[in-house]
Amino acid sequence: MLAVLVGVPACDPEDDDFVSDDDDTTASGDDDDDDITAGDDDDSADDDDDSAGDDDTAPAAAAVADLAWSVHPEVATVLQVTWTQLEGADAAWVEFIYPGSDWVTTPEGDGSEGEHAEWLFGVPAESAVSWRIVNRVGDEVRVGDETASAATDPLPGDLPQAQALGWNQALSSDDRWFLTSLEVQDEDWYQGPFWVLVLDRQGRIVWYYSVPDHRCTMHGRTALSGDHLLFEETTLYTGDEGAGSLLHRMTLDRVFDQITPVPGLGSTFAETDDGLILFDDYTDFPDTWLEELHPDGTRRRIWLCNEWADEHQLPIWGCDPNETIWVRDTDTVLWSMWWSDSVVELDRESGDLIHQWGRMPGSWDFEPQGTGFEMQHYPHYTDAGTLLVSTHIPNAPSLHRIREFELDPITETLTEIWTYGEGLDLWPRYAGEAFWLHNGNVLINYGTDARIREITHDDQQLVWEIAWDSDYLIGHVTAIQDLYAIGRGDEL
Amino acid sequence: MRWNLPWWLLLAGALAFAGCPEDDDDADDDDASGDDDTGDDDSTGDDDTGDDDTGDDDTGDDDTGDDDSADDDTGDDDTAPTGTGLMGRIGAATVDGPDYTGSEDLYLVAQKGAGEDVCRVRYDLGSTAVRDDCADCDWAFDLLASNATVVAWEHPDCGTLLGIGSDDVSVLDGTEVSYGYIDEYFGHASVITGYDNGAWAVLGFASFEPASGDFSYDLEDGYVEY
Repeated sequence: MLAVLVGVPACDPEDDDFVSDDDDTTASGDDDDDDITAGDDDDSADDDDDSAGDDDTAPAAAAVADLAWSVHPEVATVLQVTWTQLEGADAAWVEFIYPGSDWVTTPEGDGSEGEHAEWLFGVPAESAVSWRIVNRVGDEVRVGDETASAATDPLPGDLPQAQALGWNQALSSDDRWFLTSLEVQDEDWYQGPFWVLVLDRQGRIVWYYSVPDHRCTMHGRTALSGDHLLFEETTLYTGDEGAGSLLHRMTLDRVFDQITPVPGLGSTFAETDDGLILFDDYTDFPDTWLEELHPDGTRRRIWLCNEWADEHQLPIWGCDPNETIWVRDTDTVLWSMWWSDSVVELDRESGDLIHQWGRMPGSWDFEPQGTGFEMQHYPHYTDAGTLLVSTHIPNAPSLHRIREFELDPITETLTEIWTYGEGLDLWPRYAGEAFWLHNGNVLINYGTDARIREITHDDQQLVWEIAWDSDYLIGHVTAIQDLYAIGRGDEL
Repeated sequence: MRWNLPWWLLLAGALAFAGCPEDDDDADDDDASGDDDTGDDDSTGDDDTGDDDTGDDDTGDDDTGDDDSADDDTGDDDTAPTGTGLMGRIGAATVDGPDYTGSEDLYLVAQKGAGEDVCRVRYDLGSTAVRDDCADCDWAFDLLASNATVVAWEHPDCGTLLGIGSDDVSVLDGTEVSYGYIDEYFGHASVITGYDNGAWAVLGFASFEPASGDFSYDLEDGYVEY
């Protein structure tokens, strides 16, 4: 059974019983976990978990044959299974199980007579998988007689796994996977190599993409359309001022794999509902523009940061952002600058500066004083309208906090209402972020401290944590509930 | 004599020998892990010896300076190794206040960098002046090359391949280059910069440890057919 941990102290995880969650179940033995349903909730055949061969009910078996499987040619953790429907069914799908999971159900698909194929997502490397075909005929669910075996391959040798430090499943969100990027580099960060990864709750890599050399990926996410991954590959740090940068859209099966060159793209981007890409453009560096890329490939310059920087007499890096975030409700853009410890909010259409927070003159006040920004990351509005930021403590070496602020535009004051990090020896020298999960918990990414944890918001109870054993750099994290939503390129 | 080695000489060398990097060299990569008798089409008659095209042990480094040294290892004096190699320059130095003391290699390594040296020339780099015109640099120097020596010369055209333009590597002695270092380029990456055509530009990633003064870099210029 997966470990269920309770009572983990909020601020001192080092000395508690936050034990590893690595007591893998076997493919047939995990009886009492919640089902992990990849796509379809109203599953099927066999809710008691003992895999194949249940004879307690006796509907007709699914009429299938020729069960076969293969490992994805580019992703050792992705399997493709194939079978033949000897008879047509209203729907067909695959159920599979692997160490550490319960039976996983793929989305229902076409059940017509003939050959079929399906991807199995979410399986760690070097894992045995048992799988079977399930049909729906009318109201009847029919399970294939045969439970086949398959196995994923080893990960690439230079791809390090995280360690699972604990998971309080009862208190955690129901997000089962996390998309992120990882730089396997513990000193000279931003030189690569970068990987785009999907991790499960045990920290196991269940999907990966190797970013080509000399490219940096820090802002991967699921696209707003919800059906594929979207990440940047910037060449800014190689000295070409982003001339070779691109955006990459991809499904887990790699069937959909689309590259859009975005010359000049620096280190951040955001997507809007209209399909615009907002990004920092260095084409005319040292001019640094907030720019938008339209779906037809045209570009529009929105805001020249240098004019703002000149007012503050900032040096060459003064405008360089570490985050560009589109705010849907107001159609504004948050532009976070690391050198000036400042965040500005801009009207996307006009480029007008609406708010300014941080260290530079003209910024809002902080209440209490001393709660300001230094090397802040991922400042964004929460669903409650507060501002959540990961930041170093100004003028306090190697101290870090997550801070949540209420905003008062009348008095132009950011009032801290929640903070996390006191007493913790965790230090994201670069990167890092915090954001709310949909159940209200807070996911914290410690950047170069190579650690991701989930805490409850109110009592700050640690409910999940994974970490790498070296100071690798973690990029933006996105919680994922359904791998199949971003899995299959033939549907795009 | 000012020296712009990688940017035009190396490129010229690469272009002169450019072929179709993708067409036959993947095999070279693959057989780096032991499939000795395939993928090396260099054909000097030693097809199944494994370590075919470069740096065979029987040469050691003793063939340096020999103008006709490239074929010494094979015994086939009329053929040269062929393949796809990785070109670049790699350097290491100690930076101590106003002094830069180190060395740099120009290299061409077989099998896209996974094999043995095809060509390698090494020289010392020492500072002659501190530069203060690299606004974003943590430090910058004018450097002078000296004591150029051949480390590997397994191809008769190494002089051209490495962009030296001569089989006499001593022509490198006395050449000048200017390097700088930015610890946090765009806030993050550590890079080496070079002065070229009147401006400083990023050359590639680098590593510098201020406490020890250890500085290193490896600037890969890409693949070249040889």
